[in-house]
Amino acid sequence: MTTSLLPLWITLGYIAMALFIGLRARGGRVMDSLEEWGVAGRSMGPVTLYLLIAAGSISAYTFMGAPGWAYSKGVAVFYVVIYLSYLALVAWYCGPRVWAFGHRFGHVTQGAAIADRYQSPLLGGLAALVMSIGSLAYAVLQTIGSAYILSVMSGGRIPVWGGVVVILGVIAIYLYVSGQRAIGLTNAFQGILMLVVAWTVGLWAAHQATGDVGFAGVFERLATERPAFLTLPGGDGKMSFAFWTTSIIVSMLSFMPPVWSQWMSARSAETIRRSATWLPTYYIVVLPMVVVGFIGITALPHLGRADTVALEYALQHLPSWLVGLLGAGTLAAAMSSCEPFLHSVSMAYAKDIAQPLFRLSDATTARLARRLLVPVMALIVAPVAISEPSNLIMILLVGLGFATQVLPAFIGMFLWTRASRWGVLAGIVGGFSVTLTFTLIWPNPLGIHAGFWGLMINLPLFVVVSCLTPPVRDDVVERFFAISAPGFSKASSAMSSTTSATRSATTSSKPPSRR
Amino acid sequence: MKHYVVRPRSTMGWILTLMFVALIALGLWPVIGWFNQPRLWLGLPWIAVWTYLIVLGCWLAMLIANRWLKVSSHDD
Repeated sequence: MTTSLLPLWITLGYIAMALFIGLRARGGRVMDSLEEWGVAGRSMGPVTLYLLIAAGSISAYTFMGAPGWAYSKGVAVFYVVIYLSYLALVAWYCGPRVWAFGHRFGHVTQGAAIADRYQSPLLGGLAALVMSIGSLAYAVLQTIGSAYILSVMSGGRIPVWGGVVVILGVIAIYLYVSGQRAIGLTNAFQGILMLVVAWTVGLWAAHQATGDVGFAGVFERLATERPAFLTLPGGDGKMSFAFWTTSIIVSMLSFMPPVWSQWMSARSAETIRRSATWLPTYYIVVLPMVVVGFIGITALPHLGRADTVALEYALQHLPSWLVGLLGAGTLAAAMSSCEPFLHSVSMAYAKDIAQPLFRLSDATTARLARRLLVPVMALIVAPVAISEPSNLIMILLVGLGFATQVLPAFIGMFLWTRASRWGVLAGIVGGFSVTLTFTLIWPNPLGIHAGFWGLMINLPLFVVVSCLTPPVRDDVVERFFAISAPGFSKASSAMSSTTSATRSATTSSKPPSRR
Repeated sequence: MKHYVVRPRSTMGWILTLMFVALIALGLWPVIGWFNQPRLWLGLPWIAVWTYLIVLGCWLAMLIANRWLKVSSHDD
C-alpha cells in the first residue's frame, strides 16, 4: 500500500472529472423518452462512437487481468486482442443493420429487436432476463475492481464498501441525469485517458526494468530465461491451441446488450462502419499493459495474486504521480465498462420485461428505466460487490457462455429467413444447458471452451427445430430482410407471390408502430 | 415466401466475405501454430507480432470494404 496521498488525489480528480463530463453530457435535453435516455437520440458521431465502443470493450481486465495473464501464462493473453479485432468485423457487418432496425422499427433494446423479429415478447423478455445475469456479473466485477483501486490508491484508507458506494453513486448520478449521452462522453474521456496512461506506464516500466526505450529488452530476457512464456500453451501450460481457438470464436460471437445500444446510438449506419473500421487501432492500448505483466515475471516472481502485478510493480518501482495515473486509468477502464451494462440492464428490465408484462405506456417505461438504475445498483450490484463472492467469475463465465447461445436469434435477423421462434428457443435452451454443464460440472472437456460445446448442440437444434416448426409471418421476415439483405429481399420478392411482394414493399416503406 | 440464406450477390461481395473469413482463420489454429515459436521479431514475440498484423489486416479489410461500398453505391 502506498503512503503518499498524491495517487489518491489524482484518482479522485479523475472521478470528479468523469462526474462533471457525465452531468454536462445532458446539454439541456429532456430525458423523458428511451429514444433520448436510452440511445442518445441516435445522434452519436464517428469519433464519440469509436471511443464509446473502444473504451466499453476495454475493461479493468486490460489494466489488471491482462497483465495478470501475461504474468501467469505469457503470450496466451494476445487472444484478447485478436477477438476484439474480430468484434470490430462483426460490428462492421451487423452494426449498420441493427441501427437500421432501431431507426425504422423503433427498437431501443436488443430484447425488443428479438421480440419483434420472432413476434414473441416472451422470447424477447427471456433473452433480456438471462442476458442480464451476465451483464450484472460483469458490472459487479468492474465495481469490485474499481473499489479495489480506490482502496490501494488511498493506502487502505477507503475500505472496499466505501469504494463501492463512491463509484456506484457517481455512476448513478450521471447515468440518471444524462443516460446514454453520459456513457458516450465519459467513455470518450476514459478512452483517451486509458490510451495515454497505458503507454506512459508501459514505456516507463520497460525503461525502468531494462534501461532501454521500447519493449525489446523485456522479451529478450524472457527468451533467454523463461521461453515457455513466449509460446502456447504458456507458462502454466493451460492455453492449448483448442482453447485459444474456441475462446476466440465464442468471444467474437457474443452480442452483449450494451454493444447493441451503442450501435443504435449512432447518427447513421455509415457512422458505425467508420467507427468499426478504426476500432482495431485502439487495441494497441493492450500491448504496454501486457508488457508490465511480462516484466513482473522476473521482477515480482512470488506474487500472490497475478492480477495485481501491474499495480504492485507500479507501487514498488514507479513515481507516485504515475501510480496515481495508473489508478485513474484502471478506474476509467472499470467504470467505462460498468456503466453501459448497468444502463442496459435497467432498460431491458423496463422495456423488455415490465412493459409487455404490465402494458405500460412508452413514457412510463422510460421513467421506470431511469428509476430502476437505483434499485439495480443498491439492491443487486452493491451488496454482491461488497461481499466479493468467490464464485463471481463462475457466474460471469456462465453469463457470457449464455450470451453466445443467443446466436441463433441473430442468425435469424441477419442471415437466415427460415429461423423460427421455437428453433431459437430450442437452440438457446439446449446450448445454455450444455454450456452450464461444461462450465460447472465438467469444465471445458478436451480443452475446448464450454461455450463452443454449447454452440455445437445449439446450432443443429436451432436449424432442425426451425425447419420443423412454423416460420415467422412473411411480412415480418420481409421487413427485417429488406434491411439485412436488400438485394436478396428484392430477388425473393420477385420469386414469391405478388401478394407477398406487395406486402413487402408496403412494410419496408412504411414503418410499423414503435416497439 | 421463399426462404433463403443470405450470401454475397456480386464478385466483390464474395471477395470481401472471403477476406473477412480468411482474417478470422489467420488468428486460429492451425495458422497460429506456425507462429508458436519462442523467437522475437522487432523485439516482440512472434505471436504478438502476428496478433498485431491481424489487427492491421482487420483495419485494412474494413477500409477496403468501405471504399467498395462507396463505389457500388455511386454505381447504383
